[in-house]
Amino acid sequence: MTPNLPDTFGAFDEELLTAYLDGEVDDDERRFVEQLLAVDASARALHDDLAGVRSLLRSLPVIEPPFGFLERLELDARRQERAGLVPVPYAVGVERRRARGSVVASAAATVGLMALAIGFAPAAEATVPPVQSYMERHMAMTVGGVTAADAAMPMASMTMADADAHGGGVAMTNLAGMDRKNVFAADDAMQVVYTDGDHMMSVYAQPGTVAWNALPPGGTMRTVGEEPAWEFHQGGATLMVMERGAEVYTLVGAIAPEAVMGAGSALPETEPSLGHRARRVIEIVGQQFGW
Amino acid sequence: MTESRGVEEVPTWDDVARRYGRFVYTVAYRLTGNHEEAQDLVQEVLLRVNRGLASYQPGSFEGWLSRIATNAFLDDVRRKKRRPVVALTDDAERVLPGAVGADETLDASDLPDYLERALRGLPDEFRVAVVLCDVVGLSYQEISEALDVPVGTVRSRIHRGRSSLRSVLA
Repeated sequence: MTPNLPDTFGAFDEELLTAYLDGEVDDDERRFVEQLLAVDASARALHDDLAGVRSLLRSLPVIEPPFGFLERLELDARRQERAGLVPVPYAVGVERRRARGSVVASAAATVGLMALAIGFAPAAEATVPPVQSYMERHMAMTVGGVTAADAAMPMASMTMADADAHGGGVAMTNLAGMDRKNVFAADDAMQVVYTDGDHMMSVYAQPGTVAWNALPPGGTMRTVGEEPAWEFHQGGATLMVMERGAEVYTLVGAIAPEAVMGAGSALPETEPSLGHRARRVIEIVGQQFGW
Repeated sequence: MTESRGVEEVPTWDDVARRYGRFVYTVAYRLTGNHEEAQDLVQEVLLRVNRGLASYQPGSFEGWLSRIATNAFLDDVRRKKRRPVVALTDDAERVLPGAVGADETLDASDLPDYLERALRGLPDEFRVAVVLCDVVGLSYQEISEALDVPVGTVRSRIHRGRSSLRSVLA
């Protein structure tokens, strides 16, 4: 469609200016707009305003997700995929998702979720943290010195509110005098790196309980507070595995064992999930009946 | 970790959250206007990606993700319209801010925040069109297909959306 040409400029289609800015006009329309802009000051002003808005919109910054959100999603997805489950979203929004569908579908979903929570949820599994992998991963980060590693590591966008929303103890912004630096998805865990400028410590967190008897040889059991912990030393670094509530924490750092213990004891206990507690009940009952 | 399909590398689902997570989150945030709903939307998008990845046809992967995000967002908007439990007008953040008064000046450093608030205040249909065009970078034709509306409607919505923002920022 060829737009009317210059003698009717008084009543032009303003949408044409937007389409022109977006390169969404044909040759006739482009010629029309260019002639219009050459002679009509009001059209030029509108064009410039719209161009300014368009430019501002296109320069809006990338939005950083809340601290640890994507890493949690990635880890949950990995665990659920490995368990042969379709990933299940958890509601975060102000308006929680409500059950939809028929009663039959709801019942089936309930049964499925019960099975997920009690029987098949990897979150409730007794686990052996890959301590060697964690140790190597942490030490690799500090090659070249803590200062260099600290400087090279990008600071994640994080707030206390994000930390509160996303994550139990491991998301604490300060742990035993060290500031939270960044977060990564590592194997099956969320790795949060803390630093005081001179030292670095990684805290790996994964849901579940510790299979204490299956930990590799070379470590020693000890007590942190009233909780059992497993301590391991290698190449000047200390690694400690702890169980706090529903989470397994592995702390690694080239720092004194007492400092690692201090950090471990500062981790708050997370509330065990329903699935975690249900599995505990089943384990206890199972032991009674020799299942 | 990707699967090769001809010339284009199609990410596995495992890669999507890691490689495209921030992109999807940005689109989700621009569409919904707040972090809580953006998080729900991202999860919904990743679920749909999981179901749809096998049938993905090589093209713009970001465009494909954006269409999924948009459809998920619009589905949610439709659901909420069917059961309006939240009075949106009570939420000050969702109200289009008034134009800057003649005796006020808008500091350049305030502009992005002000624009973001104004964008959140746009009616859904305008905001979606503007976001798909200016944040995602889709063409009018692609937006038309994503929203299932004529190209002329897309043009009109983008223009009206930007014009509203212009009047707020003026």
